[in-house]
Amino acid sequence: MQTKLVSAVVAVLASGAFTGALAHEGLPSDYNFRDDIRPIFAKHCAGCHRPGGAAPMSLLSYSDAVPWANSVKMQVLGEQMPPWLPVDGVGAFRHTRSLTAAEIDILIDWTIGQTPEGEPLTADELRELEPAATEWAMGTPDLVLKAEADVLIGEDDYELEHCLVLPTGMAQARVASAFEVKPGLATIVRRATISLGDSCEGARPLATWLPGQGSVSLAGGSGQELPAGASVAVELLYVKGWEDEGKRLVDRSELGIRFSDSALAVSALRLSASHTFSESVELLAIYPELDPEEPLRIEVVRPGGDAEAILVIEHFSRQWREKYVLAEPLSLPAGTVLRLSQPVAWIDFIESSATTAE
Amino acid sequence: MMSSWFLALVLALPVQQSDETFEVWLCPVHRDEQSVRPGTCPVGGRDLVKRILVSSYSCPMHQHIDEDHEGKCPICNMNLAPMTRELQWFCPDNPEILNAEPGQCPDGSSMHIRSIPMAHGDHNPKHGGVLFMAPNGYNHLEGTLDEEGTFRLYLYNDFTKPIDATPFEVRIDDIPMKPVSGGEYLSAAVGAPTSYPAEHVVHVSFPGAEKDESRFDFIFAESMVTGVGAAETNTLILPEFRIPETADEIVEAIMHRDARLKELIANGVWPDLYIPALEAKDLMLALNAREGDKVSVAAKKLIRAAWLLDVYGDMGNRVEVESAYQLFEDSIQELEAARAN
Repeated sequence: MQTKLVSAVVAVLASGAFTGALAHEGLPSDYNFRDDIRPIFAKHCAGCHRPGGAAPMSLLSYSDAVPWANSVKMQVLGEQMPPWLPVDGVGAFRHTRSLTAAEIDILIDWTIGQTPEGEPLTADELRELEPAATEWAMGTPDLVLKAEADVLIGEDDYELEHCLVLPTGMAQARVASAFEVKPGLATIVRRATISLGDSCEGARPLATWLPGQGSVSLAGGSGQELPAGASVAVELLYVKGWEDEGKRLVDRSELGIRFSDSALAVSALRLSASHTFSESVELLAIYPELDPEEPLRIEVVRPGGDAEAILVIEHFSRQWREKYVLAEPLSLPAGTVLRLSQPVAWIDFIESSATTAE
Repeated sequence: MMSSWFLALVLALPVQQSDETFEVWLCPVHRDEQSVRPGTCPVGGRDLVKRILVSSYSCPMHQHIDEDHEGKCPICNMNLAPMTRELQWFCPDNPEILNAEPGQCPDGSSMHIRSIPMAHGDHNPKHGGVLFMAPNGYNHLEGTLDEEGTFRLYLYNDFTKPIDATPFEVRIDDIPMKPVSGGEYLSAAVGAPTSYPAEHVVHVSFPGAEKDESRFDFIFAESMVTGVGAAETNTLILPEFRIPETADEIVEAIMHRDARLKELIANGVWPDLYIPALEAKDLMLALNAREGDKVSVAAKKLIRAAWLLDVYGDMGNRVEVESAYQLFEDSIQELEAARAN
């Protein structure tokens, strides 16, 4: 942490360097934390980088953020943070975490330009820095599922995946329109993959949840059908920050589900290589089972049309594996071919005739 | 670090406080730690102390020289170079009394003012060579090349004060460099230059560094190879430029900056990369504001590339600079494709 600050200082004081040009770096940035930087952090980073959040440091107060200025600079320039795997300009998805060009520029300018604070935060703004809310973002769920026992994260566990199998006890099938995970220990729960069935391996993924996402739902008023008596498998990824290293921790996260009688139940397919749709469909979501060594490219070829990429991932990160929910349903006429550069991906879709009937 | 600081204090001369000052808050011991507001030092936790900095001109070889304008050193006639110095108030009869702000001495007189060098306030070559900042944020290093092909590497601390070069493991073009004159500098015979610019890759292992080696690409124009005289000093201010009115004119201006970047990279003028890079950035932001999503992917790439060129240009690392420039080129291609559609 200190090293990073030192580097930031070096950058700031690089004025007058080298061939004598007094670099821009010696001047304070026109941007300040209160007016320019905190809104960007709040929008893109606060899901994890908040007091009590999954990240090891908060970025929501000036004193918390400034020591990380150089780290912010290099993470943003290296496209490591905010974590968002899909390539820009291909597809439009919910929960996108990438920065705009102007946001990138503002952040870097501030980190190099002496990190001005601006007016101190007000009391109301400081109250927003309280630990993550313990209430459900979706409101009171229709069904709350909770493991019978705590999950133990041992002293030597730095990163751990744990599969919870949670029987729903449902007497009849229902359509789930939204899912939400309420972490028992928010500082270490980094991801939840919610699948249908009693195993986390190869099961149909219903949704993925990441800190800060709140309630996760599909587009187009659709949902996931849970059969009567179904179980839901939740694979939790735990990652300890340095403050938790060497500690024995326990977690009892909960899964909240909201049902909707009017939501259309989606169909799901596990695809390999390519697939031709015999009916017109509305594509809703993609969950690639990525090979970490290979880039992913998923494209559609409409009848008589050219190939159109809908999801491209060049650099995989296991920690940020998630289901990509399209911002809007993508209409694909009958005969459309969906091609994958990697062997497996799950898709959620609705046959267009179903939406027309509705 | 502290000894250099006090040495400078002794050498300091009285100056007038300039209007061009700015405040920083420094750790009392780890003085290269700074903030723009009061707080505690991240190393050791002591309270930060306020300091007032000023831009001035000083001699690369005689740092007590302090002028508010360009000129020649009265001692060695070298060109004065821009530096950042720290203002300090003191009492002539009570040298132990020092203050970062004006005040009164015990005898009731006003404290005197003087300026002293500060960490990273001087990035000017001392031997007419090429000076870089090390990634560790502490060291500086300067390389010189003479007509016989002897490459010398001088190591400095954060105040650009010479330090013993012996603990540094350095190789140039895979030739190990050896300490000379009791560690005054490292030296290696790399062969007389046969063409210009003369390029040499230096790998340095810094004592205690996390990273095994850091790469520095030293590139010498013919005029620099004699190893005498001070390096050229340029303007203090990033030249102003106007954002053109139309999108086509903005794109044309971006292409001009691209051509300038190519030229600078071809000649290894790393420290100047930031000028065309950051101008291209501002142009692209203006274009993005006009044309919106159409150019947003290209804009994001170019903004990142421009800042990376700025960062790695300061460190003189050809590999990183070229990687950043590749991203810049990608963004240009992306821009052309987006506007063609």
